[in-house]
Amino acid sequence: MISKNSFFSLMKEDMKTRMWLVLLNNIILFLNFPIAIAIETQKIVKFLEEDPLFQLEDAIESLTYSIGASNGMTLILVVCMAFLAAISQFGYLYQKSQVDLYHSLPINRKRSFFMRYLNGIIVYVLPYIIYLLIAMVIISAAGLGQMAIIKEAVLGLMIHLVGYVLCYSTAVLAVCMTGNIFSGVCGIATFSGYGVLVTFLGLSMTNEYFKSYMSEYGKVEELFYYFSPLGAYLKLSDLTDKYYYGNSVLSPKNIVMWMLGCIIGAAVLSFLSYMAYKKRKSESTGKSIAFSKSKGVIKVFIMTMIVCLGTLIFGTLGYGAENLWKVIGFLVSLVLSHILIQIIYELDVKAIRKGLVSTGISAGLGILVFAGFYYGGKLYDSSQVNWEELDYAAVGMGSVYGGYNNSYYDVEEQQYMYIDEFAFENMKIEDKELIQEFAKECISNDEQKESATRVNFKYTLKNGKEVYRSYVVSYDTTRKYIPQLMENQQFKEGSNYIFKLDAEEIDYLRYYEDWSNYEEKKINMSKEEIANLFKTYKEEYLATSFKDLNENAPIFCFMPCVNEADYGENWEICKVYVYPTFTKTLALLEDAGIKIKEVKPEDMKEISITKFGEANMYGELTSEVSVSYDTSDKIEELEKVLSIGEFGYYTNFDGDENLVNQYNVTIAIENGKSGVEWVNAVFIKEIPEWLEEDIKNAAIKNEIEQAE
Amino acid sequence: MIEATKISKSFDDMKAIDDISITIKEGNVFGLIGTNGAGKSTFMRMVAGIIKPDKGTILIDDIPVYESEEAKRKFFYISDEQFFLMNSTPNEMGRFYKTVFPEFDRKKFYDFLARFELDKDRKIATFSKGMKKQLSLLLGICSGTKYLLCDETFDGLDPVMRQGIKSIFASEMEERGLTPVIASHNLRELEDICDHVGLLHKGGVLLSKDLEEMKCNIFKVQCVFNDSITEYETVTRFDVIKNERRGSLVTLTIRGDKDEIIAKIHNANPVFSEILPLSLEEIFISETEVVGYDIKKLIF
Repeated sequence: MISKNSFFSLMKEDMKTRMWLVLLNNIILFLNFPIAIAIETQKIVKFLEEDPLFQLEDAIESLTYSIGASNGMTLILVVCMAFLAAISQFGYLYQKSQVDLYHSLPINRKRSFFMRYLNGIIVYVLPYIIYLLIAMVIISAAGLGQMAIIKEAVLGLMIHLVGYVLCYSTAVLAVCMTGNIFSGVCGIATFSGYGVLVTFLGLSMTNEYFKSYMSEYGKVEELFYYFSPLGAYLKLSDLTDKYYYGNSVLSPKNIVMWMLGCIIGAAVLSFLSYMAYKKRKSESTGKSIAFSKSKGVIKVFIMTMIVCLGTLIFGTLGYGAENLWKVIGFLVSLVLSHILIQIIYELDVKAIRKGLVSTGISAGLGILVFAGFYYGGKLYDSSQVNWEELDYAAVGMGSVYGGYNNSYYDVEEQQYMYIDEFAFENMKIEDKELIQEFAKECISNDEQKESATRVNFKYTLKNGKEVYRSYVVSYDTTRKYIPQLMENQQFKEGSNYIFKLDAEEIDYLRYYEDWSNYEEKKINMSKEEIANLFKTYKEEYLATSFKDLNENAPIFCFMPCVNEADYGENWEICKVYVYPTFTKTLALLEDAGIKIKEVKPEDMKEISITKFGEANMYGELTSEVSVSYDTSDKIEELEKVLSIGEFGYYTNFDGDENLVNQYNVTIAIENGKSGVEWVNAVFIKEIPEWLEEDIKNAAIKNEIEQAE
Repeated sequence: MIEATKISKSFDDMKAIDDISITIKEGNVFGLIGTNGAGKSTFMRMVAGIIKPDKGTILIDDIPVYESEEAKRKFFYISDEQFFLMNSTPNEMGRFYKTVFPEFDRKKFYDFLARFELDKDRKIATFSKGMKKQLSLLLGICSGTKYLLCDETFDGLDPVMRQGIKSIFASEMEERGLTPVIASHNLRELEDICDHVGLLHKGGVLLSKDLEEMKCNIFKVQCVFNDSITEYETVTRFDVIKNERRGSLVTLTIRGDKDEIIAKIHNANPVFSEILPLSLEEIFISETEVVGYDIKKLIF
């Protein structure tokens, strides 16, 4: 037996043979820590002196990012160093002369493995600690030494060490399983990137075949974190990133759980690497795969993936004949991947005649994957939740009433969010019959593509489980259900962001005084007055019937705003539309000095209507025809089907998007001060037949004129 | 003693070693002869515990060699493709082997380096092929192991160096019972070094014998007889392996006791007779022809 001293002497001797790696790692980490931190510290000190907006907190935040776990550059360098170390420590297995030397020495495989494995870690961790300490000294010397930075540095050290070991063990396994450097690099890429491909394939297949699947609320993209060591490391690193997840999600429990998962993963990979190293035959040097029995299995894994991806890609390219191109893609990717893998395996073109069984299995598995997704998707799309188990539901139809208020600024997350996300967070409709009926109709007409919109459902079951579905639904269906939904108080509360707003958090309100040049003005209101306004608005909004909301365009819009000191800017949280029937709200606004304009039919002098033709493949409108009316009878008739005013678009909840988008309507109004003012309007009801006739005639006239 | 019993080894579908048994006794210089592809290197690598036989056992002093640190401490293996640590010097290689083989004699190593005019601080990468072989042999000799396994190490060494190594072998064998095992495809390279020779061919052992034993039993006699009847009567009295005639000069390769052969020749009262020494090559030709092989095609 070799003593402990001899073991460490051997480690020392082994390290001496890898001085190039030691030097490289030292250079990389020296540049990444002491040098980069010195540059940043110097800049920060200058900012603190010169920029009054730049506070100590900003300096700490910047330095904790640079020195901590979420620094993307450190992550990339760590991954590269891990791969290089694995090749350096175990790459001798690719050379017969080295194998002969090392395997004839009185050092058994177990000892040899641990000696090399540990050296591969030491070569990274020692310089990391040394340069991190130097960086910390630089920070302290600049007077910026803070406990928060030390904590982040220690956390970064731990996370990057775990990430390094995870990537290093993966690469060691790949090296031990292969017989030459080319296969080794391919192996590292496969082991590290297979999870990316699984995720990509999973997402692509789900989008293709699970039509009602909501990827943003699904788990498919998370496969990357579980199936790839890079993904797991990235996730672990991201968990500490305040910018990425926001303060609310920065949870020590999450970090610890992921770190434990990564440590277990690294331990499993290390054990597998050890077993591969121990069982590997010395004579496998030079071959592509060290374990001949694993050749077929690896080939099947890779080929099945390539075949599925190839099929999908060809299907996407073949516009109008997707299925035919899918078959072609399947065959092309099957043949190409077979040829490629066989040549890599045997380094001989003649080898393409071999390995047909594994190719057959891969083809079969590829077909099974597609069949599984095809039939699974059908089943998934037609499935419904157990209505007995439903606790409450949320319906997201941002694309239907999206213009009304389709996004809001989330103060906690510090980013703009779509209203459907708000609905999913806050809407709790307990009217199961309404939801069930609506969902069933959505399922039955999901195939419709034209004149359709997307409706998203979130079901919360009694056991707390959340189920998401998304359907493409015709406007006829949404028109049928929106009136019922808008009479539901829970739907209303969950689809208007003002119900979540806390007046205490609002710094001020503003409004557009003149819409033609978007001139903004502040509303002079105290916090108490704002709170009262919100309360009154909410009461009136809930009390107003769908009919009133639908047929009367809002006549005023105000925007609650917050001051974001971090960015030195003011953030508009959302837009709040006030309807003519909201008399109490309007009164409060008038009390605050706001003069609200309302367009009346008698003020209208002329209505001008332009109809746009179909858009061509480049998105350009093929034609436009204009008509205008200035007689009182026509104006009166048109006024009945129009929603007039700057907020006209924000009515018509059950309207047809196409009707709104196809016509541009402007109305000339008598303005006491400057003569005539033009105001926009939208159609909210079917247009009169005589108008359609007039537009047709105008189009013919245009064509004749153009021909002449 | 190194004992290989019924070992076989295949690489994919090719049989490299097929059911061979060889015993290498201590205190001898064992030569392993065979053509390229005969299985010499495979056998040596199995003895060195680098590769594992598919069947059979290899014991070094009764210890199975594969994955045994104890067995591996008993030999030093010099591969046909020697490897030295990157950018290393003889001095650094000596230090490396000292950590692996505690018995490594650095003083002796430096003495040998000086004797063979190898600079201990020069990069090995700048050494010639022959110098690298010398260095490997010196490292192996100084490692203090009982066995020294050399795969094609002597091929290409100049006669002066061979003589130098041979004398070191002799003294090491005497001092501490070193047992060198030398594999080569060239019989002439081993002639003046080996005591015992094993002949490998197509993965099997054709013969394995002591050279002295072979030399003592086979003789070449040149003679001219008075007449053909005397010649016939005399030749039929011997165990003749080979009978060649050039004019009246008859050359006989005879197996048997030297004195007995001389006596029988004298009794025939030849016009001329002479007993000639046999080279190792001739002994091998004779021996293998007996078992039906044309060794000239196998080795030379």
